[in-house]
Amino acid sequence: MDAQEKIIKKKRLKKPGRERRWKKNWAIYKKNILGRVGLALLSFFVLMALCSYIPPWIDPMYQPMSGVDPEISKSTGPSLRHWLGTDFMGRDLFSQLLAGARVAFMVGISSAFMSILLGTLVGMISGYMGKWVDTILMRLADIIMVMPTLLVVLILAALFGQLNIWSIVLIIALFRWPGVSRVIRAQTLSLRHRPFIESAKVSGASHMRIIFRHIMPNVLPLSFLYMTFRVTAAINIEAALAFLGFGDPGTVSWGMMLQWVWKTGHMFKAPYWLLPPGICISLITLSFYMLGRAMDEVLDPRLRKEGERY
Amino acid sequence: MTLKVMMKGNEQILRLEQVEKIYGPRGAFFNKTGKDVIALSRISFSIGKGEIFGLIGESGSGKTTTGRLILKLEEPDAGKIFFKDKEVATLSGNPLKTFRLRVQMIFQDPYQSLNPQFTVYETVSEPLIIHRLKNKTGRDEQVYDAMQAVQLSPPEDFFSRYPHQLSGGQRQRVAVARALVLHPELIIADEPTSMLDAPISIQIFDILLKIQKTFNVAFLFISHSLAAARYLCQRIGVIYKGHLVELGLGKEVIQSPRHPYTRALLDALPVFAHGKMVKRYETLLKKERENTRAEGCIFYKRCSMARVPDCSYEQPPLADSGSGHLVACPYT
Amino acid sequence: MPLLEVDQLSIGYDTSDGYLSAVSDVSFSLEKGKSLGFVGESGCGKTTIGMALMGLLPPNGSVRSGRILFKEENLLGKSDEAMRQIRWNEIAMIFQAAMNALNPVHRVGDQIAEAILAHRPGVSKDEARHQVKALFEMVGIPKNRMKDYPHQYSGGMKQRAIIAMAMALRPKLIIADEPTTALDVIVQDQILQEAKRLQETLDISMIYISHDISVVAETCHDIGVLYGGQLVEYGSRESVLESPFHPYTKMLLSSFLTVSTKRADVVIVPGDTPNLINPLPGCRFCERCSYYEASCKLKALQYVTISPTHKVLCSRCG
Repeated sequence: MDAQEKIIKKKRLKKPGRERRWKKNWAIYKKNILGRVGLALLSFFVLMALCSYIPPWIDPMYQPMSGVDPEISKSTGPSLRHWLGTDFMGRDLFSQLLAGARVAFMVGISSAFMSILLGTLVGMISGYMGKWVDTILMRLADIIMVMPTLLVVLILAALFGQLNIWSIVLIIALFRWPGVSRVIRAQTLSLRHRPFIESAKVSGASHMRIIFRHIMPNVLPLSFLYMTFRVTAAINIEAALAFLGFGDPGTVSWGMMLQWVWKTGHMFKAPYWLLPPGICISLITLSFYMLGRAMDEVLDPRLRKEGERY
Repeated sequence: MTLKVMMKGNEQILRLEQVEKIYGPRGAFFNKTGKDVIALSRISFSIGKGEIFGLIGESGSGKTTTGRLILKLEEPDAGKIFFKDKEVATLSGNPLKTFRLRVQMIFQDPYQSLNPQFTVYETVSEPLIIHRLKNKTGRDEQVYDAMQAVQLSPPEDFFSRYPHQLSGGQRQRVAVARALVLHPELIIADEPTSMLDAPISIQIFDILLKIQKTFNVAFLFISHSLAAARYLCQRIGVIYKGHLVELGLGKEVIQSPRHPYTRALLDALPVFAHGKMVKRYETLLKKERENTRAEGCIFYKRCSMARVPDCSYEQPPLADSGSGHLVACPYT
Repeated sequence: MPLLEVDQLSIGYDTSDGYLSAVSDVSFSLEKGKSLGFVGESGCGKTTIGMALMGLLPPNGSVRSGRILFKEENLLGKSDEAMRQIRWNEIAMIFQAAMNALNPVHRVGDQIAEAILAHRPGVSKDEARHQVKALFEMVGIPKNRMKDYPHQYSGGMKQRAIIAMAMALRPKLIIADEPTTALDVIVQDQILQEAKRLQETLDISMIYISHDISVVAETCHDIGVLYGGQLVEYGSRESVLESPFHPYTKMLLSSFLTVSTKRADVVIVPGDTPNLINPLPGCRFCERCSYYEASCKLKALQYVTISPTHKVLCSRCG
């Protein structure tokens, strides 16, 4: 058989292993009722975020931020024209709610992704290199971990004035990596002396190669698990900031909506305005949390099994 | 010291000179005496080109440490290790990379030594990629050959599998293929079959022997089993608590063991199918001696042949007892 | 009437890949004061048999058919509570790598006394301690080591302590699963001699389970060779070791290395352990066997009796 043929055969055969593993994981996930509910809820919010583009396209008055119903100038209850009613200046609440879902995903996922990226990197380097590198990185992580995120963001906001949504995302990310890095470091430590890492060393692999080719694929599942929990945290922090009036005034987030209810004195007068964003925040964080718990179940036995012989 | 036990008319590839490794106390809390643990004490031996050398000892004897020191996974505290007349400790940069090309290892536990996220192809081809050898086609060729050498055939059936889809024997073959793919000159095999069943072990031994013949690779075979060492190795070294106590041709060490510890090891081997157990040497004391001195012979505590108190004063050096058979015991 | 009689025992596991047939139609018996050894590769079902005797199969495992008669009573029909009474009191087990299961924060002597107190409500603490002292003497641990913690013990001593614990309640039957696997050669030899001596002097029945044929050869009166869940050969120690009939037994014996093994004498049989997910009714060894013919794979097997104490699950090798 010539080499070309071999390669073709190899490519054809490359897939089944990985596919089977996904299928098995999915089978475990499916058994978890929490995971199924979480996934259903989450798909509902994804749908909301996707649908947020539709109302403004039907009529400019459904623009969540700038669109105002010319006939209304105060908050009104639900109607056929405005399914959830309008806010104090006649903006459509339903389209605001939809846009809020989009913002929640953006903030949640991007800041969680960044903090995971940073945390995983720091954790792997710290765990693998050990010695003084480990000491410095972990002390830094400790310092940041004990800082109350919300308070620091409030101080920063007070210093620099209004923050836009991306700086909020960045700040959340910068303050939320230490927890992840601790977990990843512990995992890396347990991997570092596993024979397959030493085997790579014996083959002449560089530190970079060992970290990124050998350790990373083995810690990534854990990173992704933590990402779902970080999303929850990020959405909550953003909502809290917005509610306290430190949000990005150019973005319609659910936290912003709540702030408007409160600031315009509709807190106890307009349940159609107060409840939907409140419920949405609770449910979306809940759904990510449930997702994480279910993934934990998928991951955990496999993490244990990997080391065992079976 | 003149400890040049070599295969006659053969070029030596690895030489250990008075190598010592000491592990410090693990903090006073766990080790109240605070004494250093001597893992290896002045070990010297050499391995010839294409030779299979067996290092035999029980757990904690320092046999695995020896392998790790040779591979530069750890540094010796004293003594020198030469690979083809270059001192291993001084290697860095490119010479170190070349060294890594020439010396490979097979680990004890095939369930732990393969990255669970790598397919068989990725595992076996990785060393070639690290050393940037060959293009894609050339690599495939070499991986293919290595897989065939370890009798995983047809190789393409295994390429895309993950370790958890393989049996223990197959995993260890993949590990051997990975070690072989660079065509090294020396392979350290650390108890390569202790996790495998006997019929599978034999298959692996067979593969190792064939590899040694075809590729003229030297092996350092580390094991707890005298029988396996006798089966595979030309020469055998017996190590006890960090001291090399006997060194000689496999045949001689087994048929006329000199050191009381080697004799005890042989006594412990099961003799079945012939009714009663026969202890040939009886070198082991029924009750161990207490309060022995640290500087005395390492086996004094358990030795029934020991001269009291002569043996308790110092560790006898490894000395020739005739025809290159070295023993660290003056009374045999 | 033998102490233990196992009749046509079949055990399987439900796995994500399907039904795994771990033990198929295994029958054997054990007299009082005798020892029986099961030998085979990992995955041959030997540990499963031990677990079934103890009534400790994992949740996804179940006995499909057969009987386990212990003192003429079928253990399989017993309630959990009844099994709990039998376990340790009547049948004890030395688990694989059990020496690592000693609790590191309790003194070894106390741990064994604890086991006695838990099962014998009438016994006072002093009596229990006294019994432990006697047990330690029996297994060869110096009395002054009773107050030590497990980490102060060597591997061999820990294993002795585990044997003492298994014998603490004077069971009629002890099942030892890989009792010496993690130990060094010399210690392994000492422990096996000790266990054999105890078994003979105390008249206990023992079942040894090991992948290492030498362990079984040194200690047992009868030997059962397992392959792929089938008991392929069963007989007295001498007959199995000296005149093996089944090709797998032959292979196992020839692959056991001794210091006098010559390379030319070793038969290298290619192939790996069989897949036991929904297997065919025939012989599991057929793919590696030199006597193979098409019917071996499909036809249910019959034992061939070679002598009253020796039977083989193969009609072609006799």
